[in-house]
Amino acid sequence: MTIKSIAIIGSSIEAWLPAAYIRARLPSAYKISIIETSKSKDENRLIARPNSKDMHALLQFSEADLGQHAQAKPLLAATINADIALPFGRYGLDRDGAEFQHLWRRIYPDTPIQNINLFNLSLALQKAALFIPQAPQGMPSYDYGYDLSTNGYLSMLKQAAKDVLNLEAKKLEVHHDSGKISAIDCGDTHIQADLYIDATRDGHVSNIISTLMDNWHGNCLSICRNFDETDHKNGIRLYRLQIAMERLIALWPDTSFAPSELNEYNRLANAEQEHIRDMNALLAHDKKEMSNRKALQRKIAVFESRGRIANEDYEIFSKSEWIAALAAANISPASYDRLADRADEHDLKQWIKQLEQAIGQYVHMMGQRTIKSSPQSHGNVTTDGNIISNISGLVK
Amino acid sequence: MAKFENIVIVGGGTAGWMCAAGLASMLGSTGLKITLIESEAIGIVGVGEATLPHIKFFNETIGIDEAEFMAATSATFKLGIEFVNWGRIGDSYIHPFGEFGLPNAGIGFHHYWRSMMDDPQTASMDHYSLPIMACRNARFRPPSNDFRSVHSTYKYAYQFDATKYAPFLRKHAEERGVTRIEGKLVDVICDGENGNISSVKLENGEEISGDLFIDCTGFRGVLTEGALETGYDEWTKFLPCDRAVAAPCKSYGPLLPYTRATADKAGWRWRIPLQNRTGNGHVYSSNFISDEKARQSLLDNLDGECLSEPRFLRFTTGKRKKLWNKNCIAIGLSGGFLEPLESTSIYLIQEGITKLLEHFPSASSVHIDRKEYNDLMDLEFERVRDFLILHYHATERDDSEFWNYMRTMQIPDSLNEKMELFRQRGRVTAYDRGLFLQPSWIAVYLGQRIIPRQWDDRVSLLPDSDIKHHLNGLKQLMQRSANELPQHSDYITQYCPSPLAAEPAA
Ligand SMILES: Cc1cc2nc3c(=O)[nH]c(=O)nc-3n(C[C@H](O)[C@H](O)[C@H](O)COP(=O)(O)OP(=O)(O)OC[C@H]3O[C@@H](n4cnc5c(N)ncnc54)[C@H](O)[C@@H]3O)c2cc1C
Repeated sequence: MTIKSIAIIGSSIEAWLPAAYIRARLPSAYKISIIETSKSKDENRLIARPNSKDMHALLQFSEADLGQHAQAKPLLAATINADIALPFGRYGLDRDGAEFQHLWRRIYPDTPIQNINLFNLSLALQKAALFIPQAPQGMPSYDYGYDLSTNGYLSMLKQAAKDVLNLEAKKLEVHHDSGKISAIDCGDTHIQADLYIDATRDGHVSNIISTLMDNWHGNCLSICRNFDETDHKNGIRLYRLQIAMERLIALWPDTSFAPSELNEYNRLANAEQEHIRDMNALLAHDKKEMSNRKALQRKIAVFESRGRIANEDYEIFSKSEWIAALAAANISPASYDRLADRADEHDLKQWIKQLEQAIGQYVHMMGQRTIKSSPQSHGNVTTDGNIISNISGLVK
Repeated sequence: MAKFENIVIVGGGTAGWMCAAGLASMLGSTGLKITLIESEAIGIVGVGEATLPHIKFFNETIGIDEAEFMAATSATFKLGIEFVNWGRIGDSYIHPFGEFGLPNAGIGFHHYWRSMMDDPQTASMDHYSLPIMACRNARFRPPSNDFRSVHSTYKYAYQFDATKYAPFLRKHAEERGVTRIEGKLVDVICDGENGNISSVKLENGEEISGDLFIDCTGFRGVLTEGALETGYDEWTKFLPCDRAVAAPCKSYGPLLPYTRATADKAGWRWRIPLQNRTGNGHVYSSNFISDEKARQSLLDNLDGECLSEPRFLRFTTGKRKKLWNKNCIAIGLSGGFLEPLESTSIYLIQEGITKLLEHFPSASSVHIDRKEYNDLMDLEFERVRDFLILHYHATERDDSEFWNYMRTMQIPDSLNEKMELFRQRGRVTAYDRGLFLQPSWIAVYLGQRIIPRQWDDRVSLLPDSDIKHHLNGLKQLMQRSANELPQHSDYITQYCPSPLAAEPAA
């Protein structure tokens, strides 16, 4: 039977994003309730990775809206700490079938790997507190995400969610029977729904009905139980919710909750979780955790031996983000792809020098053309043809 | 420490010359010395005429002119494969190199189709795909680059004379510095310490040494098996066909831009139209039919006069345990063979070359390069394998022992899960990597009667009249768009006529 009612248990964007997303993707016939659990202290700012643009288009959040209501500032990289930023743009340019890091390594075999950051335009612009929405022709391309006010964004989600029954969880008593939730007693009322979305960070609801680590059991889907503090910094907090919703809609069940559909969801969610853990272990430089993670070990070994980023299925982080994180961990390639040997050495050296200069000059020139505002000010996002001006300190 | 400058390729079939041309084009300028040894006396397998769209990229990358290549190999265009008699006797569907329908609200076209499948106005899935309608009407034109146009919803591959592709590539490779040595390899000399191959010896006594050896000796696997005893994982339990009998015949009827695979009692028959003739073969399992009966079935079903005595081939489906073992990489039939049902062999050769280029070893990285190469290629083989098994297993045929076996055999869990997911509600297991993407799985599932019990809820919520209108509009669009394309034969005649096509086939 068709799902007609959904109950979401949690708070903040974890609870409201699913409501807004489901409203936008599925007709309003669905009854949505949110049982709001007590709000723990929330981070002020929320990082949105570049792929959030798809979701914003769906939710009809324009850049102007994001600027006005969520004080959006564009982001060309996710800053993890003073030493690490994961760029949303490429390193250098590819040539002769070889990726840039190989070409660079050939010319600079002994240079510290971190110096490759000079060839990432998104990092260079971000460092100079500049934002240009698109790289000029012939320069390393990039995309951008946003740095948002969590509260502002939450208000936008609340508005988009429309017609939601919002209840405060005075208590949270989960009634269940053979692996399925039959009702939730939240103090004033009993809520019964066809599908329950557990949006608590500790998987409070789903842990009651199953001890398995999978995210989806019976009629209960847990969407953020693997929360990690780094998720605030690399944009995974929002990303995880967005992908959970995309995946839920793509596998939208009925009340029979067919195991094949749940298994597929869990398979994808588990793979995603492993990638996040790999990245977090690397960013934290947690040696013990790093050595326990097979896919991460593979990434490190392959990068160390020849500067290649070994891809897995369903990667979340781009090659550039991996290069940045590996470089920050001081993992240096011992050699490079043979394809990088195709170019004439002298010619290649010149080309790389020119690229470095071009990036430096471009950033300098853009800095000259703009009056920087204080880093604290949140410029309004306005779309002016192709150029978003008055944003992130870039005032034309 | 080992250096990898001196590359020896043994074998001059499609695999050998693709490797030579690929390596010479991409790495020739880096100082690699490439030698290819082949024996005319032994010859090449000479079948393998149908390809996948990826080959276009290979040819382009190494700088081959398409029209010249097509004329030289009597090639035709290929937009898909028609499967006849697979789900049931009398069934026919096409697995296209392209899409069904047009993107709509993020919901796969087949959900709309499934929801109206029982309506008398709803046509078979074929009618909603431009490449299939082009196939059915024997029409072809290269796709448009404008992604908004329905004419951008397909890709194409080639059907060519397998005996002509290798010689064509040879010219190309030799121009780029590859040295060819004619001779039969009789001995392989290995390093006593590390077990690597250090040189190979020819019948005339000549000894050729190398740093890296590429075994392209076909089924024999002279280096990888003969010398290194790498071992072979047999997949005959799932893919039991182990023989083929092949013969060309005169062409008859319109020149079709697709390959046909017709299921037979104990295997299936291919039909591949070239400019000057039609290639045919019967792939079968010797456990279920005799050679003579297989041959007879081939001959009974030819379109036109048989042009040469049918030739028998034997094979074992499976894959070498390590495609890259020591300093030897097995590419082509020496590495494994999955059976030609979806024309995947040449694609796997191409993947082998691409991955070798990406993981070309250096002294410090060779251990990791080898492991990466093997892991990545294993995954390619396994994903292709599951897709092939689906064709045999998703059948209702019970008219022969062979089909009873295939229908009831135990299949890999990974495939079972995929099939069940589709049966439930038309969902296709998502992968980033692997050759066959969503439309391919959907074509075969539906073509072989795996019909989802339900469909996407969002479609259920639309009024029937809207869905019917949508389907009808698409059907007309596909028919009209197919009619805008020129006849396949006309396109070939003006673009890449083969000198052989003008002559009566002999
Ligand atoms: C029945 C059948 C149908 C097929 N259909 C298709 C298809 O439609 N599409 C597709 O993509 N693929 C198909 N294939 C696979 C395709 O034919 C092969 O992948 C392709 O031809 C490559 O073969 P190869 O170069 O590895 O081997 P071969 O063509 O066998 O070449 C082996 C080479 O090694 C040399 N050699 C061997 N031993 C020695 C020695 N001792 N000394 C010196 N030289 C030696 C030979 O002289 C020859 O040059 C089919 C295969 C079969 C069996």
